[in-house]
Amino acid sequence: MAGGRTGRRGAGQLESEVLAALWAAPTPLTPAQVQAAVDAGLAYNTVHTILIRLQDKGQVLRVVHEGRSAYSPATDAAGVAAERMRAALDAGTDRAAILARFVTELDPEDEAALRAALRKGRRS
Amino acid sequence: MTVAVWLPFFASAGLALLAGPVAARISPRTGVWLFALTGLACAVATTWGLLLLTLALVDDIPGTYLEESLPIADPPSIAAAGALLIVLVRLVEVVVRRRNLLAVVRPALAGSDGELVVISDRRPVAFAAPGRPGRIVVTDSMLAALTAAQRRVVLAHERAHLAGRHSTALTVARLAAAANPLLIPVERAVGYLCEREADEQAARAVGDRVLVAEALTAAALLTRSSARAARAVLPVPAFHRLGVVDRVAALTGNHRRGVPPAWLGAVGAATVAAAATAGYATGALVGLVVQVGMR
Repeated sequence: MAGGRTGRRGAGQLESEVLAALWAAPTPLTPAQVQAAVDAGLAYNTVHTILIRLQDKGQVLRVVHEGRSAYSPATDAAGVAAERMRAALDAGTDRAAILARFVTELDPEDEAALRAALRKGRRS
Repeated sequence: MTVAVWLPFFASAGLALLAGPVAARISPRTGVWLFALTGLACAVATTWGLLLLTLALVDDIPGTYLEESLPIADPPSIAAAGALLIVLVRLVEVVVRRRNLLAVVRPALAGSDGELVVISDRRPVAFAAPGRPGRIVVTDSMLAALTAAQRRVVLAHERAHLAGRHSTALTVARLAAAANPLLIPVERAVGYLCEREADEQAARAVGDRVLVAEALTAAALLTRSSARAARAVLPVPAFHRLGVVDRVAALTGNHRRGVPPAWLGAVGAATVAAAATAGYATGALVGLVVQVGMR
């Protein structure tokens, strides 16, 4: 199913997914590992092309990890942006109105309700 | 004219009462703009009403005939003038805050050539930064805590915020609530419906509603534990009815569907009443001025 949907994802979306996978990983990833981490249904060549494009943009670095060619996210490039963004996150409590957040803070009761709703969802 | 000026305030209160129950049942895509625009209409009507009441003070200017023609007493007009001033300050505050925040966010994102910007921060955060083009900002701690499938949900969710211009809808709703605090529940409804719509789009993109619910839960619990770790003693908003729990329930099918037509009729009636009475009051004032001018 995941493989079948791949064709409908644009190049930009796949770039985001590959970049996200590299950031999530504790060590540099080889193209084969990226392929496994993002979506096993993705063609190896596609993964390779995306990695090269991200490298051209300066978003990922090619490194040698355990004797093999691998990729890691370019953390330096994000440094300046991160510094400013952290300031933005600290700036105020009404940021949520401008920057729609994925989730907001939870109550303890919410936590229990969430787990219950999820159990129900998995059963059905 | 007096009644016409006050009616939009009653209409706003009515809309505020309906906002929560309707938001819990309506199709999110429709609901976002329904509430953003009806909220805007009510806010414009109440602000216009305050302006008209304030203008009635003009009758005190010596030599005008308005004094005898306008039956409005001075105290309400003076109160309206004060309220109008507060409204203006609040509106400016919203605009300035948005500009200040975007002034920080936009340059921070400008150097990045891609849809996704990852920042290294221990706070698990994901958000959509509006712009041309908009960007998805996620912290590395958020990415590291999610599975590949869950990461795809987060990306699809934030992408939907950008594509749906949710930031615009939220700003409209926020301005409406600033102009008329009666509309704060409407602003909350718009916020909730933006999230619901982004959840639905994400579910369509990954083809799995329960996966979206799981990603939401994982991210929500992560946010919670990180807040605990950081000992962030944030006051929990008391008004908490429509939140992550409702979104998860909606995705997992444990959800009330369909809005009773009567409720939608009431939302429409409140908006029309607000807009029409504001229009009527304006017409009445213009008519009065013309009448006075012809004497």
